[in-house]
Amino acid sequence: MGIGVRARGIVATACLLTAMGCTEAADAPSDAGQSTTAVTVAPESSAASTAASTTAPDTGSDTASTAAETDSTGAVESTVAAPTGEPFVIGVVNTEGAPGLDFPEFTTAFEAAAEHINRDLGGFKGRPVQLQPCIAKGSPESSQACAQELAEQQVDLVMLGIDIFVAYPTYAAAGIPVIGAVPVLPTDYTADAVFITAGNLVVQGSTANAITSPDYLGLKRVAVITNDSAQLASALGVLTPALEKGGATVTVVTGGQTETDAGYLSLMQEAADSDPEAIVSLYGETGCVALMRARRDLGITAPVFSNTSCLSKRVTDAAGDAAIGWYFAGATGEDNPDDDVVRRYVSEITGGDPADVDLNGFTTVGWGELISIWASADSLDGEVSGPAIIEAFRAGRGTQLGNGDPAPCGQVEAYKSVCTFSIPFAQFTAPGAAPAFGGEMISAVELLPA
Amino acid sequence: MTPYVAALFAGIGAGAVRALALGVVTTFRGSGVVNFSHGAIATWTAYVFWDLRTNVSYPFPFPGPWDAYSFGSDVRMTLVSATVLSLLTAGLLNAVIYLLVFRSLRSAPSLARVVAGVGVLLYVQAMITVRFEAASVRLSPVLPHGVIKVTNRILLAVDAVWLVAILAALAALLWLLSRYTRIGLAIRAASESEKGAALLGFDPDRLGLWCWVAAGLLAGLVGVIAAPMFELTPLLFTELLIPALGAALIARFTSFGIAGVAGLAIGMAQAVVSPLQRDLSWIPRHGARDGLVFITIAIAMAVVGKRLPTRGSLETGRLATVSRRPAPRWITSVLVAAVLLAFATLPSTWGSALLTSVIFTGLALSLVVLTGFTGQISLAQAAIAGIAGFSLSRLTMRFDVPFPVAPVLAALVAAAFGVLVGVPALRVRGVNLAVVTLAGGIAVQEFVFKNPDFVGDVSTGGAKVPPPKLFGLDLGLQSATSVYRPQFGLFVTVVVALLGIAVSNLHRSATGRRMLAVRSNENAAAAVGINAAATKLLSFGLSSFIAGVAGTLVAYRFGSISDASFNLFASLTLLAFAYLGGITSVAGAAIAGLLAADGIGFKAMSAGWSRAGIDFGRWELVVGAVGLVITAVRYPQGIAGVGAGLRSRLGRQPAERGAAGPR
Repeated sequence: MGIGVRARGIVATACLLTAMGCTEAADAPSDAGQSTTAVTVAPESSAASTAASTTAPDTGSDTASTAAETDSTGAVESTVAAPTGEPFVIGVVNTEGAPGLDFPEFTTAFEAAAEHINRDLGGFKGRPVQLQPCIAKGSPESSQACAQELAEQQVDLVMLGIDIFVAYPTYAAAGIPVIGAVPVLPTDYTADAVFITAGNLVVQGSTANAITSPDYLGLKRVAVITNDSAQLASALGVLTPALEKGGATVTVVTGGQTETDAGYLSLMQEAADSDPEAIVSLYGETGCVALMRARRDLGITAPVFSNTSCLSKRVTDAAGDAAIGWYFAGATGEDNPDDDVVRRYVSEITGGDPADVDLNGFTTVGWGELISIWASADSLDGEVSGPAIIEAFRAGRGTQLGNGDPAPCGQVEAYKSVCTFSIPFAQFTAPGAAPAFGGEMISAVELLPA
Repeated sequence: MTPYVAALFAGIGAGAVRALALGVVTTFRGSGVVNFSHGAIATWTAYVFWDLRTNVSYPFPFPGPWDAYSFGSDVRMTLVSATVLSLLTAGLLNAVIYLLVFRSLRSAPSLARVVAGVGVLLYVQAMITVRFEAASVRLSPVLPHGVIKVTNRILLAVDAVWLVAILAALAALLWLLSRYTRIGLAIRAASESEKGAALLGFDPDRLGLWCWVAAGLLAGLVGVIAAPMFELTPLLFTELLIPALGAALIARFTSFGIAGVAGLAIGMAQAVVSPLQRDLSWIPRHGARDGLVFITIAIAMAVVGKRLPTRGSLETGRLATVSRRPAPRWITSVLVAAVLLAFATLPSTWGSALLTSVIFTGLALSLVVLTGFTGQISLAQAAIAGIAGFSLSRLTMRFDVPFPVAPVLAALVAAAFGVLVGVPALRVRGVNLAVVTLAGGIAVQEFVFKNPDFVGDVSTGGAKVPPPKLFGLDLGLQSATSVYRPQFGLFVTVVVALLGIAVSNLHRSATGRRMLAVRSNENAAAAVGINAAATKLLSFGLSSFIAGVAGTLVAYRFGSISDASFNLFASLTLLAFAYLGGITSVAGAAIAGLLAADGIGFKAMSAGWSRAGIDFGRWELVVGAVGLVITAVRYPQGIAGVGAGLRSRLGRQPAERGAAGPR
């Protein structure tokens, strides 16, 4: 069990990609929901210990396992010395305040996780972590300005929330390592960086594997419902060849970026016309409820694969039993014991009620990102530094998202920034989300273009 | 055939929402303004409705210490109460927008109204972002819903039928009002001749106000009853407005019936594209859904354009005068030298802001040629610049074309696209041309920017661009060890300065004089033997070449390029800032660069606020939008125009005869 980073973890990308303006559920669920995603950082350690659960077991560090004890309400009693000395400065770039591109949850989560690390986990090898935020505004200019600002401040490491136009050349020239949450644009996959979550590339590859491989469903007629956006065109460019490589025939049904419920009904109907054995929906959260209802109303029994944005509580509450039969790439379908800690620290930042913290959004992605960086830092033998942390990731000493195994960063040369090539799937059943395929992590590597 | 019929039926709801066009037509008839914020008003109203129904609170549409008024937990907000409050909000908002912004711009150049409209759009969208963040919400249905099974395969959404019926009734009502009521006839009269209406005793101001209120109510109604058919997102109705503008254009901004029918037809046609793509291999895989519609609109307007109306107003809004004499060379030289020096000495963050300003100046120069000299409006300039950026990536990464051949070729590709987008200009003018070029720009975005063969994909790492190198000299912004190399700033400055000199020389050349003649009066120009059509196309080509060069500079700066940099909003803000700077002169383009978001002026202002202890944080866009609107209202001739006027008054430079600008 580990730190649960759920819902739109991996597939925050897909959500972003839907309209280049990801949307967040406004009716933030107070319930944690049922699923965790592949952004999960920690391995199988004590459920009672947040710190332990955020530390890879094979990294040689057991400091954190005794660092803090968590009671059932999420209150943490720290048993480690407070960090001292020169702060470890992490530059944070996140997009906020632009219409359709506003992700303040990341900033909140980073602040909360930093507080947790400093207060309960002993900082970064005894050094307090300090965040140096910079807000990008969804333009290349603002992203580059942030990069130059952080380079001038000589931060130790840069951590990205959502930064659409990451200024990689600037960071490279400054010698500042970059660790991101979600690869968004094609350039991100080949960048000199590390991305904690998989992005559309792995989601589509793993989905194709789950559908076509005889080890899983072994289905060979697939309909894909997508929208006519540049970003989903890119996702489709991965998914269709992957499905075909797996031996499937593919029918693509293209809708608009904005559809009415009737429009979604028509798309599902058109997909059904090809008599598919499985359907993949590339729509983000905005299309989930309508497509779920459409499938149910049309009596379609073929399973539908989507991303975790369709598993938010808001969606499943609205869809009800229409969600049954849907698979969610990147979700584990299990509860997470560390939610209370996340709720507590996040609510301290926001000043709200812990019960109101939305664990289905980017909050948990951001939290998991910083905690996983901390875990990598904690695994270091020598002095902690940005380059050392990223080297730890690249050397496979980072934690793979979802199961805590060593993260195979750069396993596929063509996508060298990606550290996650296997993701879990959840399936929605009558009681709710449950692990699919026996909870197995399904690889994308076999079906990705070389 | 059945899949096509099914798709057509499925598109009814989406098509009916394009009846946002009714509000666009209403606003245009009342005030001559193409209201780009109409969709944003609908979105705001829908969020107000949601907030009232869900949280029993009313969000305030202006900055302040209070986010919303809470009615209290014991209050129950009924559907009727929430609807009435929401509609009142929409009507009131539009009234305020008209009174504060557009009333004073009635006699301003149509471009000033476009710019103010962009400012209002940005303001409303920014307020939505501040108040609701990126909230995606699902509203409870307002209209009866469910599905009618026409056949097993053909389904009809009940709410879509209701929406069509309601909007058809509204269109009919608007038609009746405009045809058979005194005020309706007065509005029609004023839309043809404000002077005539005024002579008959009607107050065009008041007529305009009523039209804006009516349009607000229409927007609000669409927001409240149509939002439940979608997921409500911050950009929902702004995105839906774009095809609605096409419908309004088809309706020549005058006919409610045609606008409604055209909107419906567009929605239904878009729904049919998917089965068509399946059956007809020649239809592009990407971008066809919107692209086909907009390219059809652009072509149709190029064919029927001459019948598009222009509005008669009390005063003829003119663009700022074009100075006969360029700025003295020593001033230009000093300015360029100062910029070069700044690049060599400023720290990287300031240098980066200066880069933004200089490149934006290049983009604005393209509009100086097109709009300032020739009087043509284009809302496709950013898309054209993007064409060059992607072409550069293709030429350098795939064909290894070296610098500087590659950027020149890329700019020529952009010029070719620019000429294509400009073809409708042979038949349409003013705001109509703006909307047609907007359609052309969207067609470019859809067919080109969505095509992975052109813009790259994951397998190619997107659209990368290597740094420019000339005879072994690296002119790139960054090296392996330096985050900021002044060489790139110097290179960019030299390129933009050359563009500026070229534009200045063009102004004094015979070609420039032909452009000015066309801007002033096409018929008179033709009478003296000027080929107006060729001059316009030449202007589109030249300005697109300049935009293309600037687009390549953007690509070189970032080392890669993305379509998100060149979308519709980018075109709108480019035009807005170019106009505010002063669209008739090179100096105006430089001022536009100074004002540009993330430019040097912007950074200086931010630093100033910061020193004063003021951090706008999430309000930054709101503050910026308010500033844009105020500047547009205060200086409808552009800032450089104000400077020219001052010089004229001071007697240093004889007053120039103004050339009639696009209206």
